[in-house]
Amino acid sequence: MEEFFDIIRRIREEVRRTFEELEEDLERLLIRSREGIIEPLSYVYESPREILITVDLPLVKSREDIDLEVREGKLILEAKIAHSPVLDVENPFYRRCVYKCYRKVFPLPDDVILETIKARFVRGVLEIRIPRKVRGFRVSIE
Amino acid sequence: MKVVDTDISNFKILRLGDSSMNKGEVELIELEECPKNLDMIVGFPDVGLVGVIASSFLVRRLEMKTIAYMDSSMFPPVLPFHKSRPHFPLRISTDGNLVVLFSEIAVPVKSYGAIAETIMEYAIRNEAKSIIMLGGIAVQNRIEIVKPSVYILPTKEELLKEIKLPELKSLDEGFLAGIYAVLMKEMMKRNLKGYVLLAESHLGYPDPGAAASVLEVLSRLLNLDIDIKPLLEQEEELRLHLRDLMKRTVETLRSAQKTYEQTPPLLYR
Repeated sequence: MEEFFDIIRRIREEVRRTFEELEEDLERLLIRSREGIIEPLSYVYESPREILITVDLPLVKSREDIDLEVREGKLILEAKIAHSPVLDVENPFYRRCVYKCYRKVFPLPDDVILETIKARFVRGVLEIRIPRKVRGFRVSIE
Repeated sequence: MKVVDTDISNFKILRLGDSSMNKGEVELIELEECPKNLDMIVGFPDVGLVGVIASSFLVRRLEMKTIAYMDSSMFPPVLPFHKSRPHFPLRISTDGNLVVLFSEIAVPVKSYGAIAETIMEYAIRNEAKSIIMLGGIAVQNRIEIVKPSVYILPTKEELLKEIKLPELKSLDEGFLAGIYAVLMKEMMKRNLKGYVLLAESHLGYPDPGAAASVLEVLSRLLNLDIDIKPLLEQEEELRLHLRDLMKRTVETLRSAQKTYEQTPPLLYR
């Protein structure tokens, strides 16, 4: 019998957590939409030698409109959107939303070399290469 | 541009699939008869959303009319609406010269088999001339590519001899993964004619440029008169607008073992 109540308790806890997460997601989305900030699509690829980050930044005119800053172990990206998209879409959620900028924070691991970060902006995609300190040493093979 | 879409809030159903739809089934809801002996274009959300951007552009540009929908209890519980009209996310449209099937939601992997079966049944019943699937193939150096190349994979080898476009490259070795792999297998089992057209694309970013390349090739193959300029002009707006669909599609692609496409094939077969 006790086992049964344990299962019910666990299910209730899971439902509560799911609702909390959903609330948080929606809240974050609404606040960001009100401020005109959107999170861009991005990918992070890690290799032992470097971290490669790509970010899709459509409607950003030039590299001058992109701010890339390293602060407290994080890479902070902000990019100005040239104009809000004009598509024939009528959605209550987006109706009053004017896109102003992209914002995304990437946490950085400890083993990166911050001085030699390189970035390029090609056809609306930002590519950031962050070299890593090479740990260990080469073993020669006889 | 006018979109001739059927208002489903007031539609007459011509033919309803199995109304006692069980888990694991896909229902076909037909509003009008499909014209016979036409090429059938298929576009599902996939790599770079190439297929869905290209096929939905075709529907809009050629002012197609919706003639059928597909539904399943396996699909996400969402209902898109356009111009105050509700729609099923997976629909079939035609202008009398071409049939286009596209989905504006990322369909779950578990529904691939049932979707493929339903498409095959529909294509055979309407004597489809061929089934042409539009999509993207992820390439690492996409940002360096100004004009993406388009690759072809036909169900039958002789099709390669029939299709002679110098700019079209054939996919020689590798794997195809996702819903098009399932569709191709079903077509091969039934000896149906068709092919996949894949443009070099971003993997996880919407790629209207790749969709434009695919459409350019398609219009030459089928002698269509499609002006892709509006698609290229709206490229950046579309990329921003399709962000969320792209995110959801990437989640589905992960479970569709899409990384298989980056796997080298066996050397000896």
